[in-house]
Amino acid sequence: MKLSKPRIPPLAENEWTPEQAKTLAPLKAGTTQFGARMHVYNVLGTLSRHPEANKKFGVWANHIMGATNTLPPREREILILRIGWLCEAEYEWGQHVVFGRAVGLSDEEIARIKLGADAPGWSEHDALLIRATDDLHKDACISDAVWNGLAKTYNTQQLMDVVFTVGQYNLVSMCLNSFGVQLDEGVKGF
Amino acid sequence: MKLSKPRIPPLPESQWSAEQRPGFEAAKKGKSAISNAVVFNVMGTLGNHPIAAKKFNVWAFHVMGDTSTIGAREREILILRIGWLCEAEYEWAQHAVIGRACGLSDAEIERIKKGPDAPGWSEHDALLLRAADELHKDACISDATWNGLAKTYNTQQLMDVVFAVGQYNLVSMVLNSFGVQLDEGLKGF
Repeated sequence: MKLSKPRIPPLAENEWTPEQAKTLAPLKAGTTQFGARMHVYNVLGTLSRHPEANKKFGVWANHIMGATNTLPPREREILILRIGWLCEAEYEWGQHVVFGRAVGLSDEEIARIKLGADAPGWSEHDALLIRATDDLHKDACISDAVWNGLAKTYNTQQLMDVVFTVGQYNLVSMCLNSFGVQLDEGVKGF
Repeated sequence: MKLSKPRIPPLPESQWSAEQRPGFEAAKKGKSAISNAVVFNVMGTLGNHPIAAKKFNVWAFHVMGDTSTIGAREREILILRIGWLCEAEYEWAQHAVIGRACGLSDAEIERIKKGPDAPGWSEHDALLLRAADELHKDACISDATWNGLAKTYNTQQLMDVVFAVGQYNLVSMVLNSFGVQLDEGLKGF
């Protein structure tokens, strides 16, 4: 972790507004699809310190992680894990290792995302996704070679969603790192 | 401009959906303070992915709207600096106009290109530029800059600093990679 304790701690339960309690309280009950005890993620608790921003942020975040994103989830998670790794956002990495595994990435592939596009074993398409992320991180622009490579199989909306996904999780990395969001219980970092 | 022509051209009027049409028509009729363009190229380009554009705008209007808790002039310093660092000429051009309308002088706008160490900035303005530089380089604000900003900013304002830079870093990636060309009447770098 870049910071060993939060600069902005998650909102404590006794600080929830009645409106926030309605959405946050149910998250404390039950278990996740992965069998873990559910709780309010530290990232959600932290963003809840700015309720109006969090509400609007959530609409856009749910495009990226939801059904209106035209990328297959496995491909989306390759992009998210790579930008999280490049930004050294350990919280993002920890959470999305779990999501990535659930949508078909193997443990070996997840470890290989750290090594990058030239590591042996990637399909041409997977390597292009990693290169797109690297280009965006370095130059805020996808190079012609990578764009044209992706455009062989992706349509316009999918190409757009590649940039949206990397850009959004670069933003999320900046938030997690700068606010000092600490790993949730039971989640492993790098 | 990184690209001299679009990779994704703005959606032509003939392809506007019934749902998109009212928004675009309103943009055409409204007199814009920014340029003579009727529908901004960025808006037309995002129009190629209508459901994404709709959700994107909800968040974009937090950063540019009245739920953001930082002053408009300070927000524009952050946006211009990250646009400059990302070499997003479209972003720079639009926000030079918006920044001027929010109280930045022409000299200050030019000085944003030089960065926080250029003579003339207040301590607070220099801290904003440093925050943008650090987020661009390390995806994290340093202790010194964070603590400096925290002397005058409350928690929500500190959050809005990161949101503004992160959002316009994303916008830069979009403008550069899709090849969004300058609107008529706008000047680049």
